[in-house]
Amino acid sequence: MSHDIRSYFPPKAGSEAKGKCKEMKVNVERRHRKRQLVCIDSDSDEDILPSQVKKHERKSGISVSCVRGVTQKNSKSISKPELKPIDVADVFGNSQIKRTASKKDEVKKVMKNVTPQLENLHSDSEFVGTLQELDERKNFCKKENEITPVKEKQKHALHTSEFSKSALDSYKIPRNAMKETPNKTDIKLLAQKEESRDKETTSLISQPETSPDLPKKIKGNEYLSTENGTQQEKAVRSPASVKRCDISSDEDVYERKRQHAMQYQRYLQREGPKNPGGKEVPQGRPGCLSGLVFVVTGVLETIDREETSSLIKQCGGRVTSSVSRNTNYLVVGEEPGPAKIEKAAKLNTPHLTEDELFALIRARSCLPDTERLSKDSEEVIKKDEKIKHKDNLSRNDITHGTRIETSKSIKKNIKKEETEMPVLEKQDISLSPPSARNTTFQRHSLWADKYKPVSTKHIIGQQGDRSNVKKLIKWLQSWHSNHSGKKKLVRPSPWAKDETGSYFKAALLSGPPGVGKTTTAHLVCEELGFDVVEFNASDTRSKKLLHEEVSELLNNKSLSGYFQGAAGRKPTENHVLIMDEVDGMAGNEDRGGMQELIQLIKSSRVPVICMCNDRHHPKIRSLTNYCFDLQFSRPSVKQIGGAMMSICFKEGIKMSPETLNDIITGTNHDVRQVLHHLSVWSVKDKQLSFENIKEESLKAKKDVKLGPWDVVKKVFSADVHKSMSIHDKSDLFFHDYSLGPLFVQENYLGVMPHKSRNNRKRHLELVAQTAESLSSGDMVEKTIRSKSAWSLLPAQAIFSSVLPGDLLEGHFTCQINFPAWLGKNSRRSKFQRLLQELHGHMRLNISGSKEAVNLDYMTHLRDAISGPLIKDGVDGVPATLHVMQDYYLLREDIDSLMELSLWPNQKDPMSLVDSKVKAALTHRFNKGGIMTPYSIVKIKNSASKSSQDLEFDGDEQDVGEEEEEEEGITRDAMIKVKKRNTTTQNPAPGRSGAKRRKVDNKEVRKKNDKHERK
Amino acid sequence: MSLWVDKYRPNSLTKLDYHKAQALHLKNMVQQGDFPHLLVYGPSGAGKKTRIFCLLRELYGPGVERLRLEHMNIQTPSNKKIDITTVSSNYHLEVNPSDAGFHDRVVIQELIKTVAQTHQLDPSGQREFKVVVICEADCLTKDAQHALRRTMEKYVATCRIILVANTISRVIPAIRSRCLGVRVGAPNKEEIINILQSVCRKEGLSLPNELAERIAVQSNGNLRRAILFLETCKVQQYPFQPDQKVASHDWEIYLKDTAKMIVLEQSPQKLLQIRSRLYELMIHGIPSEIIFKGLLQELVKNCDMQLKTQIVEKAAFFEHRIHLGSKPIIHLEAFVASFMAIYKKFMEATVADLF
Repeated sequence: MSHDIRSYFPPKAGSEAKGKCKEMKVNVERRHRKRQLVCIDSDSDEDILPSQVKKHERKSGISVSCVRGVTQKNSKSISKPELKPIDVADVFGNSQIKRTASKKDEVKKVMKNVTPQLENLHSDSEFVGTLQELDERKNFCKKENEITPVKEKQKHALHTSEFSKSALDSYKIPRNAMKETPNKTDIKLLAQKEESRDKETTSLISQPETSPDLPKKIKGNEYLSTENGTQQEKAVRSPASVKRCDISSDEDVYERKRQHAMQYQRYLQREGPKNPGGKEVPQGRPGCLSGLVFVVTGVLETIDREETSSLIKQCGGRVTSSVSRNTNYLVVGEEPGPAKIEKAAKLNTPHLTEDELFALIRARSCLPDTERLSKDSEEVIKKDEKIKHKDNLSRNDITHGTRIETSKSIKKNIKKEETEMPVLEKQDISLSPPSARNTTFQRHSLWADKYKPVSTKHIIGQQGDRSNVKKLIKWLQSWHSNHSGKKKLVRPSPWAKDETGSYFKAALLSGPPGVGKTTTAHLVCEELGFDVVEFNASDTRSKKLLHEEVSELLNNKSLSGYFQGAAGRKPTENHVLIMDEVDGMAGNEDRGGMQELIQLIKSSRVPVICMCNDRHHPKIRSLTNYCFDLQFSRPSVKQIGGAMMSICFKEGIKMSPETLNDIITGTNHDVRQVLHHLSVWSVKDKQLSFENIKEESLKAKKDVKLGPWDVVKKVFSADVHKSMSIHDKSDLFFHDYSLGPLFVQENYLGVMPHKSRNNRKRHLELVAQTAESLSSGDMVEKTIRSKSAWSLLPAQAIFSSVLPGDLLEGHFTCQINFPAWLGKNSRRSKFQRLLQELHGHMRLNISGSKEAVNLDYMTHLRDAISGPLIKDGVDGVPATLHVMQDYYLLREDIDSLMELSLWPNQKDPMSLVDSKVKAALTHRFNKGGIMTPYSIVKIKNSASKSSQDLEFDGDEQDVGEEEEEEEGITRDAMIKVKKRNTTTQNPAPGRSGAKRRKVDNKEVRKKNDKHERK
Repeated sequence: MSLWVDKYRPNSLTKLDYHKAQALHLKNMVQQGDFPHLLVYGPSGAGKKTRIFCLLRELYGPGVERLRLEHMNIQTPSNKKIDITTVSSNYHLEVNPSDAGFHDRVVIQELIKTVAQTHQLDPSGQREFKVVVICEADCLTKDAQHALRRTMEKYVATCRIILVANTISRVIPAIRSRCLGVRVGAPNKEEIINILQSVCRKEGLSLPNELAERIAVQSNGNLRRAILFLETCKVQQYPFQPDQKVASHDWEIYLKDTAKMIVLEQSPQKLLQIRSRLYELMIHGIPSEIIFKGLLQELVKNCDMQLKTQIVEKAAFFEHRIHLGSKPIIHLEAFVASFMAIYKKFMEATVADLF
């Protein structure tokens, strides 16, 4: 019926039916014929408005935005494709490159869909060439601004609901011929398609898959709806399975076996889908695959295996892990499991590619192939003229109801290509605000923003199953169930590999800049439907502020839950606090911020995501105890390279993969940096000559700061020296001029110099010269540091790095060590501190200086203290106590005395002392107390407290409390001491020493008596 | 039960056992009631501090024995807080500014100046001036020494300064010229033997002369060390045997072993081991000069005259550099490396001569 009506209303002014239009119509026709009728009524009403708009555009030639504005005002129903500003852009000729790029891509897609198997045959250059030709042609067509007879035919075809197959074919050929240049491969394709079609007269389902042609597809779909299912299946099955069987039979079984192990390795390492989200995944009607059994093998192109199986299950199909007799289909991706293929061949199980699977789902759930539709419609849109637009507008209005649905599906397509297709983006404006925002971005934004991943699947290097993104998603998903208070969570051991991080309330993403930490966090939150509250380095994050603002915020409830009435979701659930750049929390502004952040995490009721560059930074270290640690590493050159190539392609930059690799390594695998470089070049010149590229890629070399390990390796490496000037060599020193010389000094003995040629005498001479040079370097350094003579640094570079490197150039024979000097020096200063303390205590009774104590007293004093204990056990305690009293030593001083006097390969004399005796000594010491002429209490406490504050800054409070308790005990003992001191009226120790000793002796005796009685 | 070395320390100028003329001289000087700033110098263990203490007692009477330890907090201009421990009586103050590292200038400026500026509370008591004893004056930085200069002149009415140093070569001439230098030389062998004998007499022990002599030789003129050795010997074995072994200090043994290792084998790998041993010595706070000296003494034993000059020259060169540089280990290692190179060359030459 509808056809009749339509035939009464021929398209206006020779306007062409647009793809959109067609597709709408088809949908309408197929689904609700009645409704369409209603729509047609409205058609006539709104017809005028769009045409006016078009007139406007034509007359005044206003800019795109103007037109857009008008249309937006008009109503939502005015559909987007018609407003293609591409025409305008065409007029100005500015955005040519962009347009061609998009076109190319589009065409590429179509071709891909047509012949997935044949795709590999195209060599790159050939392909690109074809695309260019295509573009030129298209441009030409557009400029001509006239309707080709073919198109008219096309349009006509649309309106007639029935057409014979032969008509279809005949129709298709000229169209193809027009659209695509007579390219060899294309022709081949067509020929092949037609052949297959001829063979299988009923294989209507395969037609939409293989032909890029719109009308035919519609036809196919229409057919599908009336066709019965079993026939289609056969149609799908037969060609594919035949092909696969051939392949598998060709393969040598033995060779496969031999490669089996290798393949397994590859299986372990294999990545996620190559082009995730690249195609629209059909939402099949539930139950449309019921009764079918699938086996998935290999990596599919756009969806991963889990998605595939869930898709099949959604549609009612079953997925098994191995091929059996019951298996209906084998879904084959890249690098399929050979065993499965083999078995499938044996059982004659048909193979499906990803596209075929989609097609099957679409077919069985009676969905139109929207992807194809939208793409074709785009093409037509671009080719056709403004008159067409007008007509289309009206039609779109008519079919408004159904359109939204389809445009949504289009949108999905667009999402992927949005940056390259400004035209299509405008379609979205009226529908979705977020993409509108993207559109405004796109013109003037940095590439880093422009090509920002829009879904977690696009993040470079994060597609694997165990990637950080997946972990983060899992963690975030299960956060609320984990921390609802019901589960008892155990703190995982810091060494065990933690996959879920369920214990932690916060996640810490760490990694070098430009690998996508922030992007990951935002995308994951977005995809899981969490609202993001972000604080970054630009906000002040002091303790106070964090406490006031953030903690308040975290206790807030998001009202959106109430408004949307989200079922089953708690209102507080949906936000996440993102603390970006936590390592930037420094300085006076953010003082105490880290502490507060930890407190905040402890009490947080929402997930917290922190991000930093260096997780080993001392400030961050305390934070890591409370965070699920996700470390991002730099993506490999290959991973970045793939993504960058596609961007280059979109932007029309010609660049060889090798150059790109150079740039990537030069920028130290920083994706953002690579993008910046590319964008700078794109402004300069689209086509860089080879020399240019070489030169530029040299410039692109980020000044990578080498670690001291690499530096010292280079300093002594003979190979590296060949290409280095003296300036380069001294530059090595400046990578870290404080640590570099130490590394050289530590490791120069491990170098085997090539000069000496196994002559040990010569080798020693070289070593001696090197050592002398190093000693000169140390002199220079002292001068630099003490007199701030920083201009001497180059001189130090020569002495401490260049000369040693020159003298000993060769190779390392042992591993490179971290400078021992640092550790030794800190031990030395610790010993000095102990010594000073000891000397301070002994000072009243001895005349010697600190040095004398160390050199002379140490051994004797040790023997005097430990001797009686070793010899007499508990009975020796009083003698030891006497010595301690005379020299005013504390119990702790004994330990430091032992430590100071202990040399390597010596036994600690205190280890010979029985632990009982030691306990008795401690007990006696605490009880009897030793009167010291110095005030231990205050100094000790303040010192230990302050050190505690420093050390346990940011650590658990429990530890601190324990310490304090211990301190409390000792403090008690001290108080006693103090009391006794005051009771003896603070006499001069020198004079009253004897008296006091007597008192002590008495006490000791009393105690001994008590002890014996017991 | 103090160690003997502290138990039998003389506490008056008349009781001193050696350099008696000097003691008398000092006594006379004090009895006049006034004396200039003093710079007491001499090797470790020669009795400098003892002598000073005797002098103070002579000056102020037994009141100086009422000592107390005090902790002082001083803030540097860079807001760093320094803890300094001082030993003081009512009449004098003993301080070791080099405890504060390179902040010793602040100690000099703040602490000593405040002490020097204040007058004695009751001048009728004893003297009009207090005494400030500065230990380890040779370890003071140049800055601190310069800070001291003016203080010494300005407050001479209220304060005398006694500087104690091991060597005056590191004391700037300006200070040296403001002080009366008192050199306390190390006691000679006979003096040490006498003292050891007298200690034993007081303890009621009998000491064979041979053992006393061996101890005196091994102590190398350091009386403190000698008495400590004596006590160790007593703990080890009593009654004394004339041929009793005198145990030397652990660090000395370690140092000697290190030197032996150097002579035994010369290779970069060995040098690596030597380095770790040298580190060990440094960690234990053995001064680099002593390490250098110990090494050199041990090393030159194996050299002929021509080689000795070369090696001593190298040692002097690197020892000097220790003071110019900041990391002694580098220079010590450089010395060891050059010794190894020279020695290896020498050995190969002699071996070649033999065949």
